[in-house]
Amino acid sequence: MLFSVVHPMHIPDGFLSVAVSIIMWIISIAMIAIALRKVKNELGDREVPLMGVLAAAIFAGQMLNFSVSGGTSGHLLGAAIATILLGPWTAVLVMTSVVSVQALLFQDGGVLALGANIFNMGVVGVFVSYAVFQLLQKAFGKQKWGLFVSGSLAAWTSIFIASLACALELAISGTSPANIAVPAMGAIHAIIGIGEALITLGALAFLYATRKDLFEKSSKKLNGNKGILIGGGIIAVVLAILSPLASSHPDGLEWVAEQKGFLEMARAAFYNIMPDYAFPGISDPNISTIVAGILGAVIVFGVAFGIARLEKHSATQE
Amino acid sequence: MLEQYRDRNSLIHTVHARVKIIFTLVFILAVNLTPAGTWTGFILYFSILISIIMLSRLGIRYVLKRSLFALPFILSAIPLIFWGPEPVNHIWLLNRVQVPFSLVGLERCISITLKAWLSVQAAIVLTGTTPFSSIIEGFRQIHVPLILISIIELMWRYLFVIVDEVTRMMRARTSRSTQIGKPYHSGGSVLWRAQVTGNMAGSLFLRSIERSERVYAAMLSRGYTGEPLSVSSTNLSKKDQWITVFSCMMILAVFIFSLFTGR
Repeated sequence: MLFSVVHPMHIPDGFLSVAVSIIMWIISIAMIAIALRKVKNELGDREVPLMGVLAAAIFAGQMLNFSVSGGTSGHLLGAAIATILLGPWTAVLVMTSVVSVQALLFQDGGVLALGANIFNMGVVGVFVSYAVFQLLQKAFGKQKWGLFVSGSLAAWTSIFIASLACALELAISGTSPANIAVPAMGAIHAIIGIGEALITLGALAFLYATRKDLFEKSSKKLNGNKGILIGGGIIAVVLAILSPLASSHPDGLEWVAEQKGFLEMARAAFYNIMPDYAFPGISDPNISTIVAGILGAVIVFGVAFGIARLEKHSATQE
Repeated sequence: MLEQYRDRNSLIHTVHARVKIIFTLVFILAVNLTPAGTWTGFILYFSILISIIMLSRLGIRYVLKRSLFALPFILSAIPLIFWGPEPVNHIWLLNRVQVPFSLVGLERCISITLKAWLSVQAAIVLTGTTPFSSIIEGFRQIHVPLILISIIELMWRYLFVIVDEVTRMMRARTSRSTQIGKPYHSGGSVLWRAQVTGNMAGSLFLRSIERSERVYAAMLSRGYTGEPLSVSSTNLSKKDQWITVFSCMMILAVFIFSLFTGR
C-alpha cells in the first residue's frame, strides 16, 4: 500500500491532553485566519488553483523516497519547499490543507490532535523555514549556491524544530516524560531532516536549472514578511532552548499538574451533584460501580439491538 | 485505492454527513476527556462503537485492520511504564536486572493506547461511511472558511492524478536506476539516490505548477470569478436531528458515568 509511510510527526488522538489540543487548535485557527486574510489581500484568484494543486503535489510528493540502508528511507515533508516556492502565508494554507486531508481521510494524525499537527507542520515548519531561508539568503547574497545551502538548511531546521514542538506537546500532555521524548524525537528527526534537506536540495537545483523565473517570482512574495521572520526566529530559538531545559527538569512542566487539578475539580463538581456514587440506594461503592457498568452496557446493547431491528424492518420493506 | 469511502447500503450511510461529523467529534472529545484507568468507561465506548460498526456494514475486520495504523505512535507512551509518575518501584528481572516500574504510568500508557484506538476507529467509521464530497459539504455547513474548502476540494480532485504521476515516476526510476538486480551496479551512492529523488520532487512541483496554470485557465474560461461557488445545502431532517441528540446524549451518559468510576 502506498500510504503506509508512517510519519512520526503526525500525532494521533489520545496522545495529547484535551487542554493542550484545544490550545493548539486556537493558535492554529488564529494563524490560519491571518494567512487567509493575507492571501486574500496580496494575491489574486489565481492562487486558489495553485494552492490546491500544489497541496496535492506535496501530499503525493511525500510518497517519494529513497532507500538509505537497512529498510530505512528518506522522504519529504515539504514545508520548506512550499515556503520557498509560494511564500510563507500561502505555504501555511497549503500545509494546513495537506495535514487536514491526511487526518480526515487517511487517519494519519488525529482529529482532536489536528490543531497541534497543523501547528507543528504548517506553522512551525513554515515559519522556521522562512526565517532560516531569509536570514541565510541575506548572508550569502545573490549567489546560486547560497539559494541551495539556505534552502536545505531551512528544510533540516524546520523538521528538527517542528519535532521539538511535537515532543514538548507530548511532554506537557503527560504522555512522554520530557527527558525521553525530547532527545528521542530530536535525534530521530535530526536524521530524518537530512533526508528532507537532500531532497529539497535536489528539487531546488532542478527547479533552478529549468525554471529560474520561479525563484524571481517567489522572492517578491518572500521579502517583507518581518513578522514571520521574527516569529520563526523566536520559535526556533525558544524551542531550541526550552527543550533541553524541559528535558533536564522533566518535573518542571507544572502544566500537567494544573490540568490534573482541573480534572479533579470537574469530577468533584459531579460528585457534588450526585453524592455517594451513581446509585444512592447501594452503599458499597464497588457494587454500585459494577451495577452501573452492567446497566450501562445493557442499555447500550439494547439500543444497538433496537436500531438493528428497526433497520432490518426497513430493509425488508424495501 | 485512495478513496476510503466504502459504498454500502446501511443505516449509518444514510445519516446526514453533518450528524456524523458532530457525533465523531463528540465521541473523540469524550473519549479523550475520560480519565485514565476508567476501564468500564472504555468498554462502554467500545460497545457503542462496535454496534455502530456492525450497523454500518463496513466489516469489523476492515475497521480493525485500518485502526492499527496509529499503533506505532504508542512507542512514545511506553516510557511512562518505567519512568512514569510516582510511586516508581523497582522490580528485579531474573534476579539480575533492576527495572523501574510505575503502576500509574502503566495505567496511563494503556489508557492512552485505548483512547487512540477508539478515536481512530471513530474516524475510520466517519470516512468509511461518508463520501469525501459530503464530508467537505458538512464542513462548509459548519462554517469552515470557503477558501480553505476550495483549496481542499481542488486538492482532492487532483490528488488521484498526481498520485498516479508519482507512481509512474517511481516506477520509471525503479526500472532505470535505483533497483537494478545484483550483478549490475545499482544506482550509485546514497547521496546520488537522494539527489535523484530531489530532482523527481522538483519535476513533480514544476509539473504541478504548470498544471495549476492550465487548471486556472480552464476555470476562468468557464466563468470562475475568484469567488468559490456555494452549493445550496440540505437541512437536517427530523430523523437526523433525533439521531444527533440521542447519540450525543448516549456519549454524554457514558462520559459522566466514567467520571464516577474512574480513579
